[in-house]
Amino acid sequence: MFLQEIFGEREWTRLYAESGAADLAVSRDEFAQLLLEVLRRILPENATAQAQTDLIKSLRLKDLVLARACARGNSKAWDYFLSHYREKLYLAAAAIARDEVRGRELADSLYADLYGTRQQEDGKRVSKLDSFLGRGSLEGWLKTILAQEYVNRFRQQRKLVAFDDALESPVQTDVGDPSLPARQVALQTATDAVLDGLDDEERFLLAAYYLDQRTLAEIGRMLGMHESTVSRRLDKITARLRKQIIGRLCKEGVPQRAAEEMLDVDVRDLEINVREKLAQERRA
Amino acid sequence: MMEQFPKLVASRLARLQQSPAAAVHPDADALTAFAENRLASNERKPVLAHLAICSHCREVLALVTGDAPLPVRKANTFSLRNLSWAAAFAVACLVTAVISRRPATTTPVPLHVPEITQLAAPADRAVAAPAVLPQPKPAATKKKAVPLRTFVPPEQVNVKPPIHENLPAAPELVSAQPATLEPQSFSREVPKAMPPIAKAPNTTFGFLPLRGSANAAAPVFRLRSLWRLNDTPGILLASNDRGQTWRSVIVDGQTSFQALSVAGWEIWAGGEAGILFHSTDNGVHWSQVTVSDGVTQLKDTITAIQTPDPRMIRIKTKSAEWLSIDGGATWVTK
Repeated sequence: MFLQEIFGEREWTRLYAESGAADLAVSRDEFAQLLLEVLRRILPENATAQAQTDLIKSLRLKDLVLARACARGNSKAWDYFLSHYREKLYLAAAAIARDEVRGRELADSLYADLYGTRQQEDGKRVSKLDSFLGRGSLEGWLKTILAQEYVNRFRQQRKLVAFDDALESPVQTDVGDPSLPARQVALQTATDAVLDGLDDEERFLLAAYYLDQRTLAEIGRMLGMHESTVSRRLDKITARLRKQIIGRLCKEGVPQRAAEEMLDVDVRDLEINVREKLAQERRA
Repeated sequence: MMEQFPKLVASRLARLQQSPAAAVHPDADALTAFAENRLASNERKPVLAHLAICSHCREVLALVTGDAPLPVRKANTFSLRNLSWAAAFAVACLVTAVISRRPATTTPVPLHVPEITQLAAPADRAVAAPAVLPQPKPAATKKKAVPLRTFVPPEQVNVKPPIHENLPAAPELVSAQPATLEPQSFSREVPKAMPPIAKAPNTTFGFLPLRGSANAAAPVFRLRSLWRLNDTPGILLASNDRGQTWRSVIVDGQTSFQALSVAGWEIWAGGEAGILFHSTDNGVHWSQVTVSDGVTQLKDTITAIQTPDPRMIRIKTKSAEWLSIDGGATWVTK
């Protein structure tokens, strides 16, 4: 067996025991097949043996085996899943929906997908649990699924609202619009260029703070850092952005003082832009 | 000037949210691993890059990592209505305390909860709640021995709909002793006296109003699980359909259970090597309890468990008896 050779008999036995597969009547061969499938889905084909072993060692094997056993209709696994995760699922759904009744409805709607109501051509059930790959915890994954479902529903409702809003919205203005004053175009071009030069984490911080209006604590939890670190980093990025935008404007021939004032001048137009951009995003 | 700066940044960041890359979302597995900081740096990078330009996934991530508590309904804390319910709850607690300290008696203990309307109960009810406390001899009851803890049949309780949702869950009192279930009439056979420590099967049942149910005319009740032990392999079994079908319950997947005690939502299960598990929520969650008096730790097989009181747990092995009077926090051995 491929994986057994990579890990060696002793380590392989340890992994199998750690996964709790035997308790759920999952054989060693089935366990190996499961891991090979996960490797195929996560790693590229030419991944090294080291990368494969590292990935397998980092997986939540117990959760993975439980999820797949449930997906295959193992009643013992389902008993365990229901006794350990049902209440957590309801609590998570209620916290996400911020309402106990809506949360229960959300969680109940997920159960059908978890159990698998659709059937493949060969008659096998398709369970959502089949898409769990074990990189995070099963509990976290369930929360993510719930959150995705909730956001999808919420966005569906927002689309309907956005359509009505769009009818009343003013005509959008952007860089390509010839009616815009030249300096405003220069300001937007400079800002775009500076934003493009940021790294992903910096863009994430700015988007979460300025666009999504998240609090420092929320952003901190999203990135796994303390809110004071988030605050410090945002201050630094903002100061740097401002400096670079003004620098670019000066290069375009705008006097320093005028460039600084420009960051304060085009607010009303930009407000329209923000509203339009967000509406566009909702429609997308 | 800086007040306007965020608007400029936000408007230009919104432009990035429309890029084609934002439409291809990472799967739930990758997002979960990102939220739990379990991705390798090479895997984390593309997910972070996507999150920077996708407000949909940022919203999901914020919900996953958020620890927002359940919304609390705004209520006037000092309104007369709330105060009356607070008083009702206090009286209910007082009644519970009085009942739990009274020795077993041949006279049923009357139970009265203010603000809860008493409906006329049929004369053949084993347990009745007819009068205001203290009233030692209620009118329409059978003279049978009643265990220390008893329960109020749910249909005797008529909850006013608008106030119901703000009422804290009333303490429910269910005997831990074996009982015969007659769900149609809510009557039960009551043992004449407290039985000695008994090994499983030890089953109990009860009815609880579902939270948030506001239909006073036809309240919805949830049947509590029945519990017993499968003797030979020592497996814990539970039934949610009044004993018609039984399912095995995995607690730690290893312990062979030899003794069980059920009292309301509280379940104690003990087995080999002195292993003792406790659940306070009808078996949904379990925690292992170490039985030790500070010097020696219980290592023998637990053969019987008795919980005459929620705080008192008595455990028996072949050679010793252990007692806790603080809900399992500390133990003494005889």
